[in-house]
Amino acid sequence: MREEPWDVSDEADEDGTPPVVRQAAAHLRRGGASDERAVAAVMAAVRGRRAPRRSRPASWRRLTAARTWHLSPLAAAGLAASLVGVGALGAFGLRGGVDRAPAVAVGPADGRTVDTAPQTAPTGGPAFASQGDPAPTHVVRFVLAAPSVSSGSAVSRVTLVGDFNGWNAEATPMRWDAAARAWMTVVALPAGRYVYAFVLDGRRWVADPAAPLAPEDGFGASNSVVVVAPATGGAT
Amino acid sequence: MSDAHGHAALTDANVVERVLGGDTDAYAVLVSRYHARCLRYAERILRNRADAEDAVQETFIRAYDALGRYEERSRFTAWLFRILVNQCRAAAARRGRRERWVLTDEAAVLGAPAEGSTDGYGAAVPLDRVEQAVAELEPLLREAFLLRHVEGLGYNEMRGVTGAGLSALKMRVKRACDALRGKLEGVYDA
Repeated sequence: MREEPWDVSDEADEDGTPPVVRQAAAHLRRGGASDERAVAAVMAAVRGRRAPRRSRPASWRRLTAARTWHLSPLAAAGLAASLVGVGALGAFGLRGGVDRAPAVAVGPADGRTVDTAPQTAPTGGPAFASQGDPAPTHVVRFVLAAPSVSSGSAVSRVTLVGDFNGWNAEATPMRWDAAARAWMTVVALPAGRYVYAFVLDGRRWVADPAAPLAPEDGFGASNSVVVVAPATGGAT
Repeated sequence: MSDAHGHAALTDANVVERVLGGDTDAYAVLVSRYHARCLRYAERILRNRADAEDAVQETFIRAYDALGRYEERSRFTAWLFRILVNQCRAAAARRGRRERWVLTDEAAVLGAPAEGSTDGYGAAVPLDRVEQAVAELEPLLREAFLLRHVEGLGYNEMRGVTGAGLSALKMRVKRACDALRGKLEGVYDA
């Protein structure tokens, strides 16, 4: 069947619909009472299934959906240069111009932080047990080396999302540290393995360029992993 | 559980939230609201009551499993019909006999038993003239016509449901309407 373009607006066919067709459509819409037996059959089938759960926000799925980007050679070269710059910042340090700037700093809850690099945890559960303590928390500092609006970048707001805040893009805003030229925030977390990412301007979802990536999340993208170690023996 | 038991005021999105919150029984509200509508669509597409019932049952089970991915900004009916249309297409493809129901000869239509239309117990039920006219449409035209004029989906919703482009859908609906106008001439006179 060959199909020709049909140049009419979305609802424009209403006036052009023949009266006999409208009457026929009305006829076809009649009846159709709910069948209690059929409803019961569906409910019997679904009760034996796993309860559905809210999936990640639509923005997350849109951002993580596979897509193709078309860049001119010049734009591609510029993007590559930018990524190299960000990677270099992450590798050689940001905070106060020191020579090491991990994406995450971990320490006891008294506020004393201990710098540490994110760790890759074995799959299948938290990397560290609480060792009998009543789940002590640790201050974890998340750092994203990215320029702010004031420095000429398009990024004006960054938030932290992860399994520790329900992947809520509004729950954990990050603060721009001009001296460190990085976005930062601290979160109190018990020891364990956490998956996280950053949301730029509420739209762009990015993994931490300075942290190991988690396996595919099932939506076509990877996140980052941080492992919070127990305080005994220092953070790892 | 039914709308008559205090759920009539709940929107579809409200009900979905309840189900996602752990109230599995609330899903019966959605099934009650849309089962008949889904069944009439499936029956007109598949032209067989038992197949239509299977497709609708599977639709509601899949919708339940996928409920967490429903987004409130889209109408629940459009979201549900996306699953239903796929189920009907899959059922038709599995059987490979969709074309059997496309009768093009008027004499054959009038003289033939209402194949595929049964009362659920195997007995043939004569189709009325309107139903018969719709049954004669090419499958894609029938699908587009039913979604647009009977189930009330907008063209943008139909795009999501069928995967077809806007121009193609409008063309299908137009061709279906033209065909029906010819077949139903005189039906609503007097």
